[in-house]
Amino acid sequence: MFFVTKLKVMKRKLLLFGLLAVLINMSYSQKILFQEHLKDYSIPGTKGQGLKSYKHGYFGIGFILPLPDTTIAIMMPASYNYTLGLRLKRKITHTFSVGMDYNLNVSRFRFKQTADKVVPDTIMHKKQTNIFYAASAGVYGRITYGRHGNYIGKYVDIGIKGDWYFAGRLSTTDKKDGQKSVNYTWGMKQFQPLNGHAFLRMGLYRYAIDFSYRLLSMYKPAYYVKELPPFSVGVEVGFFK
Amino acid sequence: MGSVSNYSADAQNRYRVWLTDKNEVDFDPFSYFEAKAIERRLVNNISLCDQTDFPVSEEYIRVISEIADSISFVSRWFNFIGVYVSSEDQLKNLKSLDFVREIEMVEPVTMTLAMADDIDPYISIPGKDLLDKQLTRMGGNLFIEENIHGKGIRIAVFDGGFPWVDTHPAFEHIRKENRIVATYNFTAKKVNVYLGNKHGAMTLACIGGRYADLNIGLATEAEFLLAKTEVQGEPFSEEENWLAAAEWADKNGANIISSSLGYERHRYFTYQMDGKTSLVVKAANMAARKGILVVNAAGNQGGVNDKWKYIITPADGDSVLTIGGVNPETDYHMGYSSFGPTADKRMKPNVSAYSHIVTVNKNGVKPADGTSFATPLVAGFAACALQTNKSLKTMELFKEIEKSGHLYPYFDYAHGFGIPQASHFLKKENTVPARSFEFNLDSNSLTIRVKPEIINNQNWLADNGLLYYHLEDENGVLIEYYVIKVETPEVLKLNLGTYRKGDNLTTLKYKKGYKLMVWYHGFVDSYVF
Repeated sequence: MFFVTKLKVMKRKLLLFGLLAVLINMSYSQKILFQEHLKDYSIPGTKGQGLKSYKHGYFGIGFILPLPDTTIAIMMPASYNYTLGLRLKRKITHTFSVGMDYNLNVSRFRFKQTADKVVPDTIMHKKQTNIFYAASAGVYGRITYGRHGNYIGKYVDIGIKGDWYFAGRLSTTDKKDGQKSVNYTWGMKQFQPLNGHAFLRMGLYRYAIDFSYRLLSMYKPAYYVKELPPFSVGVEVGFFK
Repeated sequence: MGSVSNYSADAQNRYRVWLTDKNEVDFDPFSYFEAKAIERRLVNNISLCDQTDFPVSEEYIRVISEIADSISFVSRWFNFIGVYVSSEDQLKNLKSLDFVREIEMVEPVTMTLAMADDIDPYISIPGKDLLDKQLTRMGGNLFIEENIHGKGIRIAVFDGGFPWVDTHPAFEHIRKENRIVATYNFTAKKVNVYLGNKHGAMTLACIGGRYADLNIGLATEAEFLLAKTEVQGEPFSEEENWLAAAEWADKNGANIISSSLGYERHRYFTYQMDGKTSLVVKAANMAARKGILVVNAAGNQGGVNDKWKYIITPADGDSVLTIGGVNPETDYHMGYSSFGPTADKRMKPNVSAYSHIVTVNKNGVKPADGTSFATPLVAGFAACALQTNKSLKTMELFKEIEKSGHLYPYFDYAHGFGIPQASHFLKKENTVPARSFEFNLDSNSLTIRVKPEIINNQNWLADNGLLYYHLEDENGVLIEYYVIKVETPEVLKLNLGTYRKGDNLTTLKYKKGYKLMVWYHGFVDSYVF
């Protein structure tokens, strides 16, 4: 009983204390409508499109350029690659920067079904596509043209990247007696898991045209006599304003 | 300035050829300047034979035109010739001339029209009320009552085009009295400016437009010089057009330049907003030295997601009256209006006006947003202010407009000295504002308390009830600033920790020599720590 009474008194005290605290607070209440703190923005920034460092995401799509005489015949424009990546840029001088690219990309080669086809097999299919999944990391040097402020502006990038092809798939589509059948083959042993590209990129603000050349053959030489075309040309859009 | 050696000249490129001198040129100010330009120089004690007004040597122009593909522009003020060239050989030949000081490549860049893209969704004032408010907030009704409409003042408006100005009823009174004195399209080198971007018509209306017997701007009896300096849309243009238009405005006797334009990140960094770097700010400052009041928009880069935030150039010029935007609904900073200070920590904007306003559209009037429109409102106000005392020198007018700000002498980097008030120029401010608050310092806090006389006024909470305060360092540079809504008599309590007046505690926020300045109900007081 005594304990209950003491608890009640304590509760009342707490309630009064809380009320008092609210009243004290109210007596100095202010509704801040607007505030600015100079330290937040008066220090010259180091991060920005034309500043010391900048990073942004990007998406690109490129089309494989067929070289039928020397490489495996592929179909256009059904042979392409697309890329989702992150680009880092570090300014060295006002016109020269260096940077790194990290991306995930998918390359898709649609084989022409011709009588002389030998890769990946000699069978004629309705469709036959080899798809490769890769993670890449690269370095580049950038020359920015013209006067510009905190702005990407006009530029040319030259760089190389290393690719790790972590998965590959061959899909074949056939039609027999009006029935469509698709067959997938995963975990191909034929392709080289490590590869590389050299690239040249010409950009204006968030848009760029990208030329790319694969440095090594896509398939292990022991498997096929011909190679997939190494050149691609594409466009890229940066995710920034 | 960039060195020419950095650039190739494979295609036709544009360059500025800066010259060494103006030897052997003749100049007769009485044949070059309009009478009004001479009058303005005399009022401002400016020499009629200033070397910057002398023409560029005809001989130099002739020699350069023989080497270059063509000449785009010749600047008297800065003694350079704009040229187009298409080969390295031409550049080498130009560089080898002994009267060429430097060659600078000109890049086409975006000039921002300071019109906000979106109308603030929070604004709900109906059009007619808004039209009324955009002028009465500056005390424009007092000018109107005194029949002051900017008569005899010449205003040059620089913009992207002036369609409708030759047909729209809002400009009929100007057309009827032939008060569009001259026009020039600097982008096409033609006289016709009644084309291109509607932005110019919208800003002109905010200076002196009149629709359905209602004033849109205050200077409805002013004279106008219209210069199209920008191309359609968000244009690629040159700062040279602005300079060319300023020289033209000077020659034609402009008293005021109203420019709702500016450059930002496409060409510059925020640290270059120092009033010295861009060609356009040099041109604006030169125009001020010639006795022209240059009124320029602060810009619309102040939004929380905007990477720039600062004022744009030429708003960074020390002689440029930079105009910020105020929201008519709240009566304080409009979210998008760009912030000061300049890179070298000078106060900007100088004053503010409503930036959500009513102006012309194709068939009538409609609300529009941007510091683009606050700027011509103040330009019209300045014309009326100058009409009240035509002997005012330009920088005196500049200072008086600042002093007329409703917050003056309080300032911050969002509002400047606040919204200019006509009463200041009509000498109607007979009463000194009553003390509306007091500082109370106790052991560890500084309290700002509203005076009982204010509280006893029944409307004290119904009024806008805004209190402005800032903290400035010993050099007068603001550290932080606030607008708060007064809801209780004890408005503000600053915790000073263990501070005692006179202590020099470097670890505390409120250091010795720092100043707290407060504005409330027209009264301003400071507390120096």
